[in-house]
Amino acid sequence: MIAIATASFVVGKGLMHILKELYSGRRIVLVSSEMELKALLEQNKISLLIASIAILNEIKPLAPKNIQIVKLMDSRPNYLQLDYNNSELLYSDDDESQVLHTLKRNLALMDKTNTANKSESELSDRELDIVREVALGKTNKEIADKLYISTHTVITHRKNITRKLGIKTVSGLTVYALLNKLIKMGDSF
Amino acid sequence: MILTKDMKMADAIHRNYLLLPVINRLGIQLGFQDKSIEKICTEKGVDVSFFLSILNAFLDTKKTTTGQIQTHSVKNVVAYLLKTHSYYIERIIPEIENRINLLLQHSQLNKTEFLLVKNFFEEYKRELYVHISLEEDRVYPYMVEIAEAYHLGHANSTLIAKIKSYPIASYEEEHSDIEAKLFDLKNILIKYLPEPKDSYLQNQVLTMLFTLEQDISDHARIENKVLVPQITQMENALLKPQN
Ligand SMILES: [Fe+2]
Ligand SMILES: [Fe+2]
Repeated sequence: MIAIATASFVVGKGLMHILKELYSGRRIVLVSSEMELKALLEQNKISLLIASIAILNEIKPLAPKNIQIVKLMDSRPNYLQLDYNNSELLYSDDDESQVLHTLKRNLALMDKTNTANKSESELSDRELDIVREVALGKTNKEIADKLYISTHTVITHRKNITRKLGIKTVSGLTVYALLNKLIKMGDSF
Repeated sequence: MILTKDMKMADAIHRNYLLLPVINRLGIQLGFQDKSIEKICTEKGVDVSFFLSILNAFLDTKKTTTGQIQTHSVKNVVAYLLKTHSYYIERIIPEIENRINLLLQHSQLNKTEFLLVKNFFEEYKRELYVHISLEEDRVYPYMVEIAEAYHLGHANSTLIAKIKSYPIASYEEEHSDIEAKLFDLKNILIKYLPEPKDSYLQNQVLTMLFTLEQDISDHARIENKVLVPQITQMENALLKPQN
């Protein structure tokens, strides 16, 4: 899951929009205060956090390890050259190519650490997305359309999910999703 | 052959206790003394060769062993399969249900978790019952009819039409769903329910599920690997134009 934390509504919504275009399907959550962010971090596994420097300073002692963080900064000071190697900072006056570059780099890094940290049997974020949709009763075609992937890819994911979980049926996956709180009771019926 | 007619009946059970319900279904109850399989079968009027082929197919899943059942009449095999159906419906399923209910009573599961397991089992049960009634209402009677016609060497036009519209091969795939649900239920209990204070009750449910699974897989193997090919052969012979 990706979290965006900023008091600026415009910045938050804007980032969310761009991220969705770059990376449809992944869950993205937007919060506007350090309180909300704390609650979110406690309950979810966040793999990428994009947060304003103000909020980050507040939660610093609580910030979990192994989380990839992008700091939202005010305008770039004049003395700083554009530095493509530093992907940890996003300035409010960055132009389109800089913003896209930073975000793409982080998404790629996130996927890399995600797969590296996962053992053979653990579900990837993408597979969790699929489990959720299957449990809600969606067909492969509907899932493919929603996540902008091919039906063939959905089927491959489903095979891997069955192998990893040892669950073959749709109702079995629904029980799994409910027990693991991937969906709520009301969602499925 | 794993078991032979000269072995003691008691030794068959010592080899694999899951044979207990199999032996019961074939018409033999406990109290074996030290009698041989043949002696008990003769006393109870059970065909010893049929008895052995069913038990050996349960113990040894190899094709050649299971295939031995084909030397017996379709009618007898179907009669045995009918008995296993009623064993599932009257004995095992209600017993598993009782044990699942105990999981709530002894608060091993909270209400939500309990309902998830219970509803899942209900679904499984419904599918199993639908499957069983399809077999008892249509598939088994059809098999017996084909076998009778085959031995008469002639099928009337109604039966020929049946063979053409719904040959036995079209029913074989039906089993996969039932096996999948049982498989899932085991994993839900083993892996995905929260850790209980004491696993004893859940162990009991699991033990019954494993037992049922093995019994059903033997049962389905007889249907798929013994009867389906046998009936297919007979269908083909009946369809051949007579000289
Ligand atoms: Fe059956
Ligand atoms: Fe069957």
